[in-house]
Amino acid sequence: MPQTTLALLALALASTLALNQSKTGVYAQADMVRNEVDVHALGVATEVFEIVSTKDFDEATTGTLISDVPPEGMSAPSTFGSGKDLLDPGTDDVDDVHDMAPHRVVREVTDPETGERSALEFEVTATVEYVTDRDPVTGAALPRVTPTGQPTYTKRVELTVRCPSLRGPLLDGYRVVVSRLFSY
Amino acid sequence: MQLLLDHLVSVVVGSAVILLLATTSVDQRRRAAEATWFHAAKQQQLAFVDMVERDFRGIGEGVPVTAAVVVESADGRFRYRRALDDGAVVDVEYRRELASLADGDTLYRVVRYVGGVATGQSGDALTSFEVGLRDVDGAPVTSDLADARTVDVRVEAAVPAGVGGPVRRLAWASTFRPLSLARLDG
Repeated sequence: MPQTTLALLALALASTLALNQSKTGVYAQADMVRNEVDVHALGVATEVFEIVSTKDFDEATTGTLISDVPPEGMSAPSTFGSGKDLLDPGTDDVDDVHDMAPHRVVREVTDPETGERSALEFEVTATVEYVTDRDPVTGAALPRVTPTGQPTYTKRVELTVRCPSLRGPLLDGYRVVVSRLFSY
Repeated sequence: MQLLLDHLVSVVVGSAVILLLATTSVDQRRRAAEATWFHAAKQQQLAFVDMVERDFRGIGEGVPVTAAVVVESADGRFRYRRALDDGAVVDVEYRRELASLADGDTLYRVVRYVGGVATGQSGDALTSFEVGLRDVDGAPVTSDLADARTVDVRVEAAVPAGVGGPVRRLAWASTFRPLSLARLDG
């Protein structure tokens, strides 16, 4: 009788361990897929930042030297955003990308063994804000760039890259957030 | 007889449990090693991509408008000009070189030369490094490199064999719009 009880206990313990191990394997595999998509997503973010960098700094600085426009002459944060697509001609300055229509990018993925091709679709959204590294009252240097409601010569563009093609219990809600400062 | 049977069952169950534990332990170690290799492969690729990003954004920087910016763009070779901090204009070249043949994959490294001197390189596990040029309408530039306005880059690295389960490639692609090329349109 004691042997049987012990054997049952050992089996239960071993089964629990094996199940746990199997669960860890599933997590590890999902993690690797996320890592692969991360690399793609960073490339997509770079591409979008490159497009943003071709735009004017502000509506007020279009066709003029930025140094000729004082910060208070620039767009107020409440006027950011055009609701248009990133590539729309109306999206002509950096803050127009704020809350833009989701920009879609498709990346082709090829299976090296079968040669089978599939598409990964990415969706990019953006937010823009003025930032400063100076205390607006004292003018003292701040330890890090901080968002401010007052116009400055620096805008931070934050991109959120999502991958709707990525589905699964451990992959839903995947996103990568990257930001870059635009300053002149 | 009953005692003998009990002992026999104990031995069988004990062996099965020990075997299961040993398998689990080996599997756990393999997964840990795979995760490390995979992470290293990703970091190595991102480090190279970071160098490419910084370089390609500055294509033609400080070069007179009238001078050629992209000098060569061929399979596995890309050469452009830019000015250094002291104003001297140098050629920066990315050259794909054979690293090894492994598991049916041809693996490359990409070496970066500045003025003919090697100043950086990727890891030894790239399966592809492609640079493509496009004109103002987005059509591929095939003959006159002066028509180039944007630069497409694709870097693909192999994940070590047996690692990554379904993932065998880490691919990064992006399009650069260097100011020096855009200014040619006024």
